[in-house]
Order: sequence, then C-alpha cells, then structure tokens
Amino acid sequence: MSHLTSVPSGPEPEGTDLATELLRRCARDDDVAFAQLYDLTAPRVFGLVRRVVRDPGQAEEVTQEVYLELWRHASRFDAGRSSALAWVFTIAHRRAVDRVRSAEAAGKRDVVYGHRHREVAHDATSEVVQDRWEARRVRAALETLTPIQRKAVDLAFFGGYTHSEIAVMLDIPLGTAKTRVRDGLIRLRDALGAEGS
Amino acid sequence: MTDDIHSLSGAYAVDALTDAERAAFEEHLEHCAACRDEVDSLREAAADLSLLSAEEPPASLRHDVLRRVSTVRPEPPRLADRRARRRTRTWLAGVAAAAVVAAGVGVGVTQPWQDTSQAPQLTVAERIERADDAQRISVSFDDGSVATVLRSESLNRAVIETSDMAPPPEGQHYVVWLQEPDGQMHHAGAMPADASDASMPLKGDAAAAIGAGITIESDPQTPEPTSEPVALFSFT
Repeated sequence: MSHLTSVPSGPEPEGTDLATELLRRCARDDDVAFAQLYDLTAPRVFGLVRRVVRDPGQAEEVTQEVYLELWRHASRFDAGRSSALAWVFTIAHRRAVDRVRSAEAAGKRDVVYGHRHREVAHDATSEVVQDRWEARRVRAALETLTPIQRKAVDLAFFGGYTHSEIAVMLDIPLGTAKTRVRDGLIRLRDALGAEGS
Repeated sequence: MTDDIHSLSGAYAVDALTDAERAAFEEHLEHCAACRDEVDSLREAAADLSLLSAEEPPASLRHDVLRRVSTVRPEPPRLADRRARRRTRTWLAGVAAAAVVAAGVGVGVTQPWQDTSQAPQLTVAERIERADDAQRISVSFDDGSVATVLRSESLNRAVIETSDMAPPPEGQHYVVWLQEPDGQMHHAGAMPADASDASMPLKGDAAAAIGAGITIESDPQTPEPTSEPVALFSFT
C-alpha cells in the first residue's frame, strides 16, 4: 500500500506522517494531539459526512461520533495496513453511511427515488485552500474513469448507496454495478499512484 | 458463497454492501489476503475523494468535539481481550441459570418475522431454516416481545430476529455478540435503530460459536460488551 500513501510531487500533502504521529499520541491519551488531529482533518471529515447525510445538523452529530471513535480507538490504527488519513476517512464514511441507512430503515423511505443524487463535485465545492491543489489532482484522476464508472463511484461514495441500488439508479444489470465501482476505484487508485511517481 | 465474491471488494471498500453482503465478505476477507490488500488500497484511493467535499465545519463543532472527548479516555490496546474473557464467564453462568432459554433443534417453523418484500434470492434466515441442522433459540421478554437466533452449523451462519422488541433507551443500541469457544465475545452486529421487527445476519464464525447474547450499548461499535446481557442464547 506504500505506493498509495506516497504522494506525488507538488505541495507537501498536509501531514500524512503528521496524522500518523498524532494518532499514536492520541492512543497515549494526549488531548493536545487530538485537537491537532481535529484541525488537520475536520474540513474533510465534516465535508464528507455532510455530503453523505446531507442534513447539516445530523452531519455535526455524526462528525462528533466519528471523532469520539477516533479518540477511543486510536490504539487500533495499524500503520502497516493503511495511512492514518485513510483510516480516519474510512471510519467517517462508514459512520455517515450507517446514519443514512438507519434513517431510511426507520422511515421506510424509498431509497432509489427518495432523493436526487449529485455529480461528483466540480467547481461548486467549497474547498479549503490548502487542499485545492490536491483536489485538482483527484479530479484529474477521476477523468480517467469511464462515465459510468465515475457515476457508480460517486453514488457509492458520496451517495451512500449500495451496489444493488446503484444498479437500479443507473439502469444497469444487478451484478454489474459492483464491478463498475471496483473497476472505477482501481482506475482511480492507479491514476493517483502513477501520477506522482 | 459465490465464486465472484472477490468482485465485492470495491463495494466493500466504500460501504456499498448490504449488512448481509458485508458479513459474508468479511468472512471471506479473513482468509483472502489478496482481497484484504485490495480493499486497503482502494480505501486509500477513496479517502482522497474526500478532498472534493471538504467543507469548513461550524466553529462550535470543534468545541463540542473536544468537550466530549475530554470525558472519555482512549481504550488500551490489550486490556480489552482480558476484560472480554472475564465477562464471558459471567455470561456462561447466566446461561445456565436463566430459565428463559428454549432450544429447539431442527424445528422448521415458519414465522412471519419479516414483512420485507420478496428478495430475489433466499434470505440468510430462509437458507438457515432450510438447513438440516437448523437451530432456533428464542428468548421471551416480560413485555411479550421475542428475540430468536437462527443458526446453522453447516452453513456457518446465524441470524437474529426480533418481534415487537421495545426500542433501546434513547441514544443506546442493541448489540449482538457471538461467544467463541475460548470465551471471547465477538461483535456480531448492532441492531438497526428500529429493531422492533428486525432480521439481522450475525457477523463472525457462527459454526464455532457456543452462544449469543444481546447487550445495550451507547457505542454500537464497541469492541467488547460493557454491560450485562439482556438476553442469552445457548447453542450447546
């Protein structure tokens, strides 16, 4: 996985190593490190959660849950398996998706027609300044996906939909949405990795 | 499982599987290093997507988060196992003492537990009920609600189903545990918020498990039970 955590040329990626160090300190009950970790990651955690759950109030609640989990489980972070940032965003994404799914289960809402999906953000996103360059790099990598792969990845990641729901939404056979998501992520991964080397 | 279970890696990496699919894929991950590596690498890539949705959170959120965290300490890495082991013995004693457990092996009674619309394939519960070694263990509560664990050793699957289950206290969750032969508690899933009439496949090694239990937890992902069980199901 080192080829993925390594970051291409350009502005130094806001603390890949810094995040690892901060998480290790969190595991040792260091609340100063935790506050730094929050400052380093909050725009991306909150933004991701908000994109998935939509409602700002709920997004704040879920973001709190995410940070509580990061704090409590910091000792479980395994630097041999993933980068610190990927670990953080994996937890954030899972929490956000759990929230929309349980809300839907409770409300028996029709997932497929219940709300409109969005495009992967292009220019409208309110980006945090220091991440702009990085975001441009990700957009360029997304361009290497086929339109259907891009859409499937968008619906899965930002929409929080299951691959079966995505198949219906995109009007493709049931078994193929998971393949589109996987192939899309593989392309994204390879494009992000290749660009920097 | 199906031959192309590997193809679920991408959907798994971005949480695009149903709970049942996720449970099946996690079983697969335990003995497929290639899929584990692929999932890890795809998660790294997906994490970068969050750059596209970055958004400055309200300033008050920082204060709220730091305040909440100040009331909780980070969990130690190793102590957890020891605590789970100790808790286990209490559970086993509880199973023996509790007269609420009624085990019936191979009783294939069909119950209208679920009112979900017809799935294209058999649900995990239906597959278990069709298995020769299907086991159905029910616990009745004072208020008339019932929780049932369906288990098949040959399928290595178990499902919990609830009927008229009272909701957990505000902000709390029902968490289901599988008890391993060595006494360890394995997190088998948190019940959905509305658990009154739910059906949830249990994560973990259902064939090896010797029992199951339900606790009420404030953290649905807690790695170990933090309270006494409200229901126990003995498989032996």
